[in-house]
Amino acid sequence: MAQVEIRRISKTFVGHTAVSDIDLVVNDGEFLVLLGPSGCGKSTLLRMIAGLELPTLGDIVIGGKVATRLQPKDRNVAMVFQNYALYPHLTIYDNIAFPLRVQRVEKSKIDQKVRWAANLVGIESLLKRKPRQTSGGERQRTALARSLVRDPQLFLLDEPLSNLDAKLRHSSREELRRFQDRVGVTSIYVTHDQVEAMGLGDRIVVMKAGKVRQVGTPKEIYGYPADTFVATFIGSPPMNLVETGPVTVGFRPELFLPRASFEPGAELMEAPLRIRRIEYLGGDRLIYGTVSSSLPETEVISRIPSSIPFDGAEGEEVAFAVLTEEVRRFDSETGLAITAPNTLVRRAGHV
Amino acid sequence: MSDARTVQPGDRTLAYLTLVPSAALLILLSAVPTVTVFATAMQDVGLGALSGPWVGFENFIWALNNGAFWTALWNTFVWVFGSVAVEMVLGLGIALLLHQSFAMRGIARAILLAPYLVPTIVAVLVWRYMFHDIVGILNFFLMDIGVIDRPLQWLSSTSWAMVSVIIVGVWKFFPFVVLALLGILQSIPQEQYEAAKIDGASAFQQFWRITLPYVMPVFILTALLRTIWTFHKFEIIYLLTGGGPLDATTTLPILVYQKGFVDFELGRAAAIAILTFVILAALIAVYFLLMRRAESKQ
Amino acid sequence: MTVTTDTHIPARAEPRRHRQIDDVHYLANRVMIYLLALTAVTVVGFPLFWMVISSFKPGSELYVSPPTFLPNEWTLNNYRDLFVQTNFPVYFMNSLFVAGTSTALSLVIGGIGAYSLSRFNFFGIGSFARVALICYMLPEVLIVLPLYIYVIQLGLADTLIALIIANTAFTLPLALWFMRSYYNAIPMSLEESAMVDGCTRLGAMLRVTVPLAVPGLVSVGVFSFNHAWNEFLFALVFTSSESKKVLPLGLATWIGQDNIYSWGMLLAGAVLITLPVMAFYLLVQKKLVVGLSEGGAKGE
Repeated sequence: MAQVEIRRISKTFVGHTAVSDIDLVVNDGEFLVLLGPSGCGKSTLLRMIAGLELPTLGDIVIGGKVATRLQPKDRNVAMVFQNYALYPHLTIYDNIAFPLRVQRVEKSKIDQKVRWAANLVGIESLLKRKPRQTSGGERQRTALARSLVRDPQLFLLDEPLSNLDAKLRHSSREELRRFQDRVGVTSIYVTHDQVEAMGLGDRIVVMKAGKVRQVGTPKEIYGYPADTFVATFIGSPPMNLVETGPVTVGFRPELFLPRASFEPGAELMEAPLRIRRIEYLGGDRLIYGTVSSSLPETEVISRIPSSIPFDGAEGEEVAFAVLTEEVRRFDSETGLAITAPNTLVRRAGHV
Repeated sequence: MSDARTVQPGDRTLAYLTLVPSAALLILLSAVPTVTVFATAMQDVGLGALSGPWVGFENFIWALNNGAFWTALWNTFVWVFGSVAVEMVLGLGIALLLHQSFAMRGIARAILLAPYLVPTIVAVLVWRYMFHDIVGILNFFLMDIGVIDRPLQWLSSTSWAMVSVIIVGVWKFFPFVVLALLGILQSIPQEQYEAAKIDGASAFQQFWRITLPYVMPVFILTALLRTIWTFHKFEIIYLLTGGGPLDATTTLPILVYQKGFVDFELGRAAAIAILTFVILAALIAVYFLLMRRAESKQ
Repeated sequence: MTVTTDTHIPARAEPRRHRQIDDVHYLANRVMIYLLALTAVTVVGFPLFWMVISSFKPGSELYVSPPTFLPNEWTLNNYRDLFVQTNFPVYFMNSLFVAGTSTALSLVIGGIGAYSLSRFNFFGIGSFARVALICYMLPEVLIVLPLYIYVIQLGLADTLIALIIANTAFTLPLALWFMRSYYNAIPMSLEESAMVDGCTRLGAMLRVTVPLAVPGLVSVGVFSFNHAWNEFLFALVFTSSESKKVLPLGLATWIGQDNIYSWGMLLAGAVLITLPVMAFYLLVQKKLVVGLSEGGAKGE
């Protein structure tokens, strides 16, 4: 177990800066997610922590020890790669045993450890197979088992779920998190999928263009986005943004509901919505339309759960509203949030 | 990120250490000799000696004024273009045939490609036996079916020697063309033919409009590669005819060998070798140019 | 465009069977293919067939006109004579030694060199690969003159070492070039994973990359062996004594000496030179196929 400190790290490749001046502390035992669109530098940051890339500037401290220039093998970290990087010429057993063999652990100990790890991820029956004889999910578990056997002080995961199909991804996500809770190792997880990030992370680091845009718990990130990029990157459909002069207001689609569904007397921001299209999704409905009058005319989306009655039709204009306390305010110029994100999180009673 | 090349402390040392043996061998046995051969070509090397007084370009002038050089150059062109033309046509035909599916195709393929694996000395021995004036099966067979009425002197007449040498060369090396073209033929997406069929293209049109254009870049590169290799082929001619009868099959490499190791005139031999290399270098340059263009198109 | 004109198909009759062979064009096409294939195989395969058959004929039958097709009398005398009366065994061992050693050398030197060509890209490494390819195109007759001078000056004339070095240098560019592209196809993440798992760069290369490159190394090995086994010009120029001759040179000197070395012996010798090449190829072909299917799983 270890704390990881990233001290003013930058990485410049020929012609472009992949990571610029990042400061970050990963707490002992924490599950930290690096989230951002592709090319934002999150993988490069992870590879620098692993020792696969040398930072151009700054230092990396793992478990109180400066590790910046250490070889990967001397860092005692484990990494699960996007394509799992299983060694195709070795059986599943030998794949899992690999890190121990490299360290010249004695044979009986290796066997014991391999079986323990395989058991933990539920692949005891596959040990004799070669990687190509296993399914995507099994490969992912093998990669996990391989990263486990060595009792690493730090787990690094580079989009380990992105090669799985949607259904498997969902169940693997849950497994992964349960597993981390049990082992309790500090983990850094890279993904571009915000659902994965929200579901897995103790804290999320949102990155863009080599810079950190916001660090916080999933609730903080979702409820109090630090800028308009985070606001639209997190949440599906994204937060509605309406520019009103120097201030841009933002509100989540699931909080922007028909006026009638609020209790009388609630403090509201109201706006009529001209409905362009209704998408029925089973659990809820997406209403696409345009707000006007009290707000400048802007395209917005509302998500109405099926528990709330709604009978508006396409082409109609219906009164919509959002609780004033749920409205976020951003500087139109810089995109930065005006409300301080450390306000106590309160949720609307009816959702 | 997958192709990001990581550079860690120690990588440079590893790279240099692993490349030193290769570099040393290539420099000592390719680069340095190339320089040496130029030096030798500028010297008047006496009979049996390894070096001699500097004479500038005298050896080159001698070569260019020598009938033997021009005969050898002509012979080389006949040998190269005769062989490569037949190899390419035959190779394309056999490749198209092997691209069809038929029973026992695997065996047919193995037999048709076998000559390429056979050592040159073996090819030479068996063909010499078949070409034999008296006991050779070739003469017997051709007389039997009435193509000729008396035995041909395949290797020992000035009119037939080059033809014979080309026959053996083609037999030995056309499988290379087959291999190269079969590879590209098998990579043509089947949908292209299906679409063409639906569009009403005949078998010939399919060949002309889909197969041929697809194969053409590889066809040209293969032809050029075969030209370069055939150009400096030595042992197949040396072992079949030794360059004779008279100088009917003396190509440039054979002439270099004769000057250098039969007449022991290393300086003149080097001059001819360099002239040979200059022609070859032009072909190699074209090859690299075409290859680069093909690569950039992809 | 075959449109059925039979409009009287009963609604619930037995379904009609359609066979491609009923189509005249299809049939003619198939016959053509088989005829062509048969002709090609006969013409191309005949010399080899003739070589094998004739090597089993007794001396008397080899010189009759018209020749007999199959031997009237099968005999192994030609093979026996080859070993009893000639230096064939010496040539064979020399060839094996030269080809084996130069193959091993170009595999080791080329194998590790190509790794660096593939994985690193600093000062001059990219152009090094290109220079290697140009070296491969240099004609043997150009190189053989200066090499002859060196060989004499270094006192390596009439030794097998000279042949081994020359053969290695000649196959090395191809080994480098081919293995580089083979290593390029092996994902970097495998080595990175090994390094995170506790290997040094060298350890990752030896434990992960090299085992995965075995099919490529096998191909290079086959090529190098074949080249050295075949090589004639260097042998002709560098060696002269009977005890130092390799197979191609040895047999070449027999040509035209009908009174001492009969056609039977020559052809038997030819068969025996061909066998190792063919055996090697067949052996390796299987390995190559396995290697390819293994490589197909890479990256997943």
